[in-house]
Amino acid sequence: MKTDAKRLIKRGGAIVCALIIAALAFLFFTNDFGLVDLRKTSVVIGVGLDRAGEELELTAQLAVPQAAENGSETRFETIVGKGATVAEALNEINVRTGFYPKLVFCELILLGESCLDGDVFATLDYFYRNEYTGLTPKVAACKGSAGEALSRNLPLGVSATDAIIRLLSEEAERSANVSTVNLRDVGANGYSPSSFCYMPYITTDESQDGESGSAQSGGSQGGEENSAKSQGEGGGSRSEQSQGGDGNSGQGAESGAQNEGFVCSSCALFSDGKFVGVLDERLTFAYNLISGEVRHAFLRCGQGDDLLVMGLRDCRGGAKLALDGDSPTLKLSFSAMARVQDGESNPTPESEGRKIATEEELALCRAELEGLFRALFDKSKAFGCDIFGVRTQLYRRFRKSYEKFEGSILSDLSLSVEVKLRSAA
Amino acid sequence: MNGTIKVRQICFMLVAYNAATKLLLYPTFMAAEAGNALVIPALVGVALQTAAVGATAYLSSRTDKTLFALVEQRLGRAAARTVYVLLGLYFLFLAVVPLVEQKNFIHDAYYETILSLGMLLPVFAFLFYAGMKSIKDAGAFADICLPVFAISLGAILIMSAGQGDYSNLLPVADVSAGVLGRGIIASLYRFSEPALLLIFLGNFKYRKGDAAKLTLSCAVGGLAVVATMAVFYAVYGPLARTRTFAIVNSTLFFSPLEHLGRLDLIAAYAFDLVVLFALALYVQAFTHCFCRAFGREDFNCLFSAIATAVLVAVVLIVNNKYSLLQRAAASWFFIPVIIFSYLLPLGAHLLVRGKRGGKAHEDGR
Repeated sequence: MKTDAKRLIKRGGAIVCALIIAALAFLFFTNDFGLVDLRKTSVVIGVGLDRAGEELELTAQLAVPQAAENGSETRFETIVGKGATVAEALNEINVRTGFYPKLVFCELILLGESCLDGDVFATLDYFYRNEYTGLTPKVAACKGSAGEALSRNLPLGVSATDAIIRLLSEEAERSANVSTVNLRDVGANGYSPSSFCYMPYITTDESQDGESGSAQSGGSQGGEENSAKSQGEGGGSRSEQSQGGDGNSGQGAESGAQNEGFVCSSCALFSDGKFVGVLDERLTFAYNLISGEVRHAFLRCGQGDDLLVMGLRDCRGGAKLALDGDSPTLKLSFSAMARVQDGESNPTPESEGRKIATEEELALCRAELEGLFRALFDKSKAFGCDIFGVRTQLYRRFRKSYEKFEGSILSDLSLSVEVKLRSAA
Repeated sequence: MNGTIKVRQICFMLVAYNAATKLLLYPTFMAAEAGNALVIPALVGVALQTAAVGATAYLSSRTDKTLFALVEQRLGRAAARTVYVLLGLYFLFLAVVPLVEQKNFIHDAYYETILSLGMLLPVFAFLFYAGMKSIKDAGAFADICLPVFAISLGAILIMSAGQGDYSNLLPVADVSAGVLGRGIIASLYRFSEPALLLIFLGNFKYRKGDAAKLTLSCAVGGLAVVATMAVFYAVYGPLARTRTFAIVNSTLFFSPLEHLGRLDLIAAYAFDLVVLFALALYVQAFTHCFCRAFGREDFNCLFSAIATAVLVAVVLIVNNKYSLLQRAAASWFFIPVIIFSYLLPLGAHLLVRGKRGGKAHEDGR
């Protein structure tokens, strides 16, 4: 009897002990001991970086959840911190506002024009060292001030970060319209033997109008007004909440002045961490066809009555280095299934129903692509930027010849272009 | 000895615990040490360890005695006690690096605030509890851990394998002898499994082919580590050295997680539990060795408490000094590992006289 009781106590004790340990372990692994007071923290969704002399100005865009009658709304605020480095600027935000900006949910790092003067990796250093950021935020450069860009009021309560992230979406990337990269891509390219990197170059509608004439929807006049307003309120400010706080649903759309957007169709190039130039819209498109994972792209070919827009599907691009003796050759290859989308020539019932490209149309499209790829290659040589990763290929595939060709390969490189287009059956 | 363990369970340990304890910081460490050739020193380490496990497994085919009995028979009781005390201390020593790494992993992966050491209380409570349990119970733990390990690591690899650029690993064999040697020496302390097999000696029924099974299991665990390292480097390329924990960092670019949230952390939690059981095995091994050395099986509670207290003290001392610990580990931890995990199993062969007797063993019954 006594033995049974002892055994029962022993077994019961073991079970209770196991349950306690399981409960503690669950709490431990799920961070329930590390309760975070949400009122003392802020969720940073985007960060803008600008340089003002020796100082770095960090504009953090925050998402502030608000209680509402029908569910919840999110208010967006921007806070500016200054310091010699990103860490110091973040700390200043902490000192001035009493809460520490968390970068776990940061989706975008926007580099202002002033940051392009120095070494981009010196600016981004904090994010590579910080384990919490996770190298997933998308990186982009912008014309003008990044702080001002993030502080802009946009329609429908959309934050500037959200607007830019949408433009850099996977869908846009798969249609070769933007060169989306995240911190990992920038670092992996930048620290590779090619030592280059690229990122989308963001402009506002108004500035894009002035440059290339192709723009998305939005009023340019309003853009100027809004830009000026942003500058007044956010620029250089150390205030706790600089502006943009009233971006509630519907409020942002009240005037045309707030109705402008961003354009991300060009691409900033860096070599050895230094900014070397911007690829325009067409060359960015060509680069994306070669290096990206493109599913469906639209290509304009011809002029006047011969103008037609081809849809390219099942795209496969590649840049491969070939080394024949002492002559390195870059082989740019591209293959796709082409389909006529529309054209400028007088439509007839027969032509309206025809989507299959003729040999002449395919040849026109092929010539257009070849021209684009050659122009892209010339541009990369002019910039001295190894955008095709030639040195990296040399290191990985021709290790024994690496030291011999490393220094001269970009200037000695010749080009061969192969474009294979097939008509949709 | 409280009960016996099954060969299957030892095989599970050699797969799950062997891989789990290596996958916290070893990939980052090797990425820093050997760059894109990180898998080469890892493969050499796996080959060395598998050979030593094979040799130890072969020893179990030659005798059904425990190591304690073998040493006692040839060198006397005092020598056997000394060997077991030293072996026990060695197991405690082996627990230090994975324990500190696990603490850092939990801090980095799950916590946004600075982790106070008090939060590690459940870990130590578990280690104390598990340390009191017998080797037979350790086998039962392994039965649970292998499927958890396989599912969690499988899920992590599925999520991360598609996100990498495998040309990052090229040129694979481009590693100098100096880098290779340094990489192997500096990480040899992570390849210590042969010593664990010593305490199972004589505690399981050896059947024909078991040595091959044990050796193969060790190789499978090691290759799982190498595969994970390759995926990790493919995902991060030259940035791999800056990302400390491969298990939680490799999955970050799996696009469904953008919409679903960090579901991959469930796999990481599960994986972490396996590391916890692997740590518990070291404490169990310490308790087992000390109980045998002092001839007091009923002192398991005391020895488990001592082991836990020592580990608490070590964590308190090396807290925020991990780089110091890592430097020490890379510089001289290989010495005790060579002695206890490589020389001792080989030396144990000298203690066995003649061939293993008994028809039952020969027939595999």
